[in-house]
Amino acid sequence: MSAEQEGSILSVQHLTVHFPYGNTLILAPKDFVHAIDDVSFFVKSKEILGIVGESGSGKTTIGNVIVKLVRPSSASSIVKFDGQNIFSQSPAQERSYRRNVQMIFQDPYDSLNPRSRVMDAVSQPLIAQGLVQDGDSKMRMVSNALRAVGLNLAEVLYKYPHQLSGGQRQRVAMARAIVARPEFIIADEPVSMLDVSVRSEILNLMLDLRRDFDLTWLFISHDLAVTRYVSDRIMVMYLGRVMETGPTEEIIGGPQHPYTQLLVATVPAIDSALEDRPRAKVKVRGEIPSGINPAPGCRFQSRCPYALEECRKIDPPLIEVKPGHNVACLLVRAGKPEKT
Amino acid sequence: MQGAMNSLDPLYRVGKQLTEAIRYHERSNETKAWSRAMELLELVGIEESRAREYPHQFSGGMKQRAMIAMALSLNPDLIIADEPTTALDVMIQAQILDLLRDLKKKLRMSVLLITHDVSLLAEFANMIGIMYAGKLMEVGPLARVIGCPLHPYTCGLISSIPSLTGKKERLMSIPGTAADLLNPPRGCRFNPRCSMATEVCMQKEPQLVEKRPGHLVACHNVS
Repeated sequence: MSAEQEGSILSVQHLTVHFPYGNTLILAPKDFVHAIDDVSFFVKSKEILGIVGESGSGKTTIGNVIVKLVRPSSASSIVKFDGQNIFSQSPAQERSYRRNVQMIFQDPYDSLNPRSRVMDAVSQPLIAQGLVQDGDSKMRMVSNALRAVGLNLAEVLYKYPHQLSGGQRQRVAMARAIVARPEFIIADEPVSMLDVSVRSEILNLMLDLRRDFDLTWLFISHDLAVTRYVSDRIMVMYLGRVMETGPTEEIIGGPQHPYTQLLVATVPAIDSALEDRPRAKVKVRGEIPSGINPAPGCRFQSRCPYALEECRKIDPPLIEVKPGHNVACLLVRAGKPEKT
Repeated sequence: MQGAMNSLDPLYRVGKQLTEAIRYHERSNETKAWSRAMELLELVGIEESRAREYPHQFSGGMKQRAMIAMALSLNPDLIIADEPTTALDVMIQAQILDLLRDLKKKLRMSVLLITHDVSLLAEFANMIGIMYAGKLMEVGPLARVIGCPLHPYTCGLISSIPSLTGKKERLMSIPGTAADLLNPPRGCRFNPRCSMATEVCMQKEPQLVEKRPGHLVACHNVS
């Protein structure tokens, strides 16, 4: 792991987030939703890491932890940005961290304040960070950000969100994210609310912004095809655990974990209209189990077509099968078998 | 069958809701309707023991199965599925599509699948029709429409969808935003966003014409 972490801008180690469940007002909580269980990963500078998973897999919670909307539940959870633990920052460090790390949310209809005009929304981070002294420099920076996301200044500057289309709103949200010149942006399902024709514009914009502003992206999505398009590496999550992580083309082209294999096989792909492939699909049984006090063993064991007796007892650790490609499955072994 | 998760009445047990349509349309008594309802649930893969549960005890996929059972209750020839899997996770989506495919074969029905997801159609449909702003732009056999689309809108749409297995190319997009239906554009409804639009496109609305065998297109520029 340590070799891989060279050049990484963000590293997450043993991140665990449990939410108490049930009546917590009077009684001490008995049950916990295990949103994230001992997850470690890193993001290299200027890369796009895609996190994919079904609903309830914990991918959104990861984003929320990184922007400090949610605190980890375990003291051994460490999130480092630029080598600095984000949970023990001085106020000045925290201030610069909050400028450096920005987030774009799923729903551009909800994430923009309906009562502030585009100008005000986009200049907000500048004012909060004390980055502008006068109206002129504010105007200049806002205009630059809006131009960078491909919006026509004259058309949008003094409009309210309800006067904009969905694609325009998401561009405004992106302008707001980049206006203070961050290094790292988390995009949580940024295109799932948009029409297909608009979606591709936003995805292309993400790639362009990375090139023009040297940005690093954490891209969170449930859509494998979209994630493949933008990401350099993909991390597959299931019920709060990492199942597999590796370079995009290896994950899509040669998935090792049974869960990833099923995911790749069940995603509807437009190509299947052309190739005449009556797919010999492995059937997925059942549905995603609840994350409340999960059973021991592998999280995917209840739906896995290859599950063994051992899988119910041992929670498999991530094992490196190829350089940079890690899989958490007892059936997949590289070199020496792991002892638990 | 509606796509939403909210189409079941939360106050009635699932089995009870199923009998309602049966009793309304076929003069049958409660017991007969109930046993028919159980047959239907079995058909869509829900255990009989769950029939007395309320919809909130069902997962998203099971609700959709129950909706399919309800749609089947009167032995229809056609099922209209409006975005049946939009709110579901991919694996559950695959299960529901498999179910629809099986039932289609077993019960010899037709399915009209309405969706915004072209990839989903690519997996499921025999024939597809592409609509824009209230008009059909192109209709034809699946492989023809996806493989060699003739209408500029279909071309744009298909090249804006990222592929899972093919080559990774920069995605195209269609400029502009969807037409305002309060005040639809004159002539072809797609003309303000079309790169091939000519004078005639702004004046005259194109008719849906058979340009290739079985492949209909509404565009002046396709010969």
